Amino acid sequence: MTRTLLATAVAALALVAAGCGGGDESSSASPTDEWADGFCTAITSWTDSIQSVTEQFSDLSSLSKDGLENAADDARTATEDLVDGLRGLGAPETESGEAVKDSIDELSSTLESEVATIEDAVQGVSGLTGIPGAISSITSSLTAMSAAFSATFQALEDADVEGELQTALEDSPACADISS
Amino acid sequence: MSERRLVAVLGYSTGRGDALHPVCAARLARAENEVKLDDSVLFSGWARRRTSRAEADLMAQAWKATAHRVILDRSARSTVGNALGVARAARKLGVDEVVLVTSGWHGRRASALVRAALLGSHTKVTLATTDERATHAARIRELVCWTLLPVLAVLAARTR
Repeated sequence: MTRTLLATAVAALALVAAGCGGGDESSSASPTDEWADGFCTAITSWTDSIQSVTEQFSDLSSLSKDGLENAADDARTATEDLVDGLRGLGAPETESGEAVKDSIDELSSTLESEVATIEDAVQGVSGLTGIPGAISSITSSLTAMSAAFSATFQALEDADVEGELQTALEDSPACADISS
Repeated sequence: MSERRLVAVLGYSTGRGDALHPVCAARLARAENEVKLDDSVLFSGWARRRTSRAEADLMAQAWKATAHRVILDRSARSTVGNALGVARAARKLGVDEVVLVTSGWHGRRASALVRAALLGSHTKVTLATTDERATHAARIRELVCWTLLPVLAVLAARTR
């Protein structure tokens, strides 16, 4: 939650700064910096939202059908927001821009597909599968999402031969919020 | 009688170049400082590209210290894969302690997953980390993977 508030505050400050400048002053942030900011804001918002979903897996014995349905709803909403945010960014204006966009499009497709699988698993709970089957399916889907994220971040690093994206991520206030 | 230890070194590579990545070389150097003569050593990591050599092979080739036994796990494609391989080796060897060697920014998640994979055993897990700075992309990746950790830990604990 703190991250969301902070990211929102950073975004709001950026808007205020852009809107309250003196006359013809333009924003000092380059399009690549803005892309990096948007990227990190989308990711941190998603992780904040999805945390409440994954925390339920710390104690499987307390998971109920209602709990699973709420978790699936939260995961779908958060992931739809993330995918919209990522797709809205388009390609960064860097040498590797198109490769980055391709990687992010692939990630978005995987996330959408796995969230749909989670929803199907939860909807089938009253049938033959039951909660243990749904948990197994949800675990597989979230693991696939994790692997997709890892592969995407690695692909971004690999494509960024000139280090332009790395510099933008380092300079971005929203990315600075992500601690090591 | 001395405790039996497994020193597990987690690999690192990118899609660029075929040589041992500096991050991986730093982990290897840390392991060389850590290892004792009667320890077993596990090098864990896959080949990111079909034409390149596995991280495990590159580490084994560059290894300069002496250990009781050296094991290679070329199948680990992720931290979950690393953790499952480490736990499998630890159970097979019956070690009392796993010394997990990785980067500082990766240690918290890697050790949590190894502990989950070793659930039910009495094997102690200790961390030996390097202190290089993570790239921002790596930090973001860690944030996402840390968020999903409870689920990944369930998976690691269920997989033997």
